[in-house]
Amino acid sequence: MDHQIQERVQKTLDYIQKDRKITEDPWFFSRLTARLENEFEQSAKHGWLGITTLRLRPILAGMVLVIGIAGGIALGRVLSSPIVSGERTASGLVAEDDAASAIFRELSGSFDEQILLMK
Amino acid sequence: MTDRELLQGITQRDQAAFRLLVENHQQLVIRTCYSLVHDLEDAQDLAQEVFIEILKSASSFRGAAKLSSWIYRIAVNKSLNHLKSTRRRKAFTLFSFQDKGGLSKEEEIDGLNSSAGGDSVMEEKELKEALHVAINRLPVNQKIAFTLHNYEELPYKEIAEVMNLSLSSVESLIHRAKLNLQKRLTNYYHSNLK
Repeated sequence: MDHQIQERVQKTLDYIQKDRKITEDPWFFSRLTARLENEFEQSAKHGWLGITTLRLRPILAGMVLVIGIAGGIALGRVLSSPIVSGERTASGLVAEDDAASAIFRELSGSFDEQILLMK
Repeated sequence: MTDRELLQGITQRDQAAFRLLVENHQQLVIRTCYSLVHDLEDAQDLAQEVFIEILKSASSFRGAAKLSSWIYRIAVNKSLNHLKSTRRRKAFTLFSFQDKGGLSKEEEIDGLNSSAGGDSVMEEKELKEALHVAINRLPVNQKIAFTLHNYEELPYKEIAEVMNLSLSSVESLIHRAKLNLQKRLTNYYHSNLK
C-alpha cells in the first residue's frame, strides 16, 4: 500500500513536466492589440472624467445616500409642521368655544330673566 | 536588440518593439500565470494585463534587474491579485447563491471522468487535480518559488532576484515546498486509495 502511494505521489509530481507545456496561441498579439485599442478608445472617449467617475463611484453613492437621508428628515419636518399649527388652531378653537359659551351663558341668563319678568 | 533598446522603443510607442517583446516573452508570461492560477483562459487574460502593465510602466524600469525578472515579478503579482479576488468572489458566491442549481466543481469533474471514457484521460485528470490542489495549499512564498523553479525552470539565483530574497532563502523555500507537497499528496492518496 505504502509503495503504491509513493509511486502515485511521484507520478503526480512528474506530471508537472506535462502541465508546463502550453500550446502557443497564434492570436495572442492580435487579441492584445485589440484590447489595447479598446482601452485607449474608452479613455479617449471619457477622458479623465470617466476614470474619475469610476474611482469616485463609491463616494458618489455614499453622498447620494446621505443627501437622501437628510432630504427625508427635512421632508419629515416640513410635513410635521402643520400638526403643530393644528395644535395652535385647536387651542384657538378651545378659546373660541369658551368665548361662545360665555356669550351663550350671558344670553341664556338674560333669557331666563326675561321669562321671570314675563311671569 | 538588447533589453534596454527594446524598452526604449516601447517607451517611444514603437509597435515593432512591443511586438518583439510580446513574441519573446509571451510563453514565459502565460506559463507563469498558469502555474499559479491553474486555468489557461485566466492565464491568457492575465498575460494580456501583464503586457499592458509593461507598456504603461516601461519608463519606470531602471534596469537594475534583468528584464525577464521584472516581467516575472509583474506576472506573479498579477496572478496573486487574481487569486485573491477569485477567493473573495467565491466566498461571496458561497453565501449568496448556494441554491443556484448549477453543478459543483466536483460534479463537473465526475461528469468529465465518466464521459471521457479512456482510463489514461481519467488518470491524467486526477493527477492534474491532485497536483493543483496540493500546490494551491502551499504558503504563498513556497508556491511562487516552487512554480518558478519547476514550471519555468528558473535557476535559484533568478528566483531570488524575482522575489527579492537571498539565495539561501529561496533554497530553503523550495526544499520546504517539496516536503510539503510530498506530505500533502501522501495524505491525499492515503485517504483516496483506501
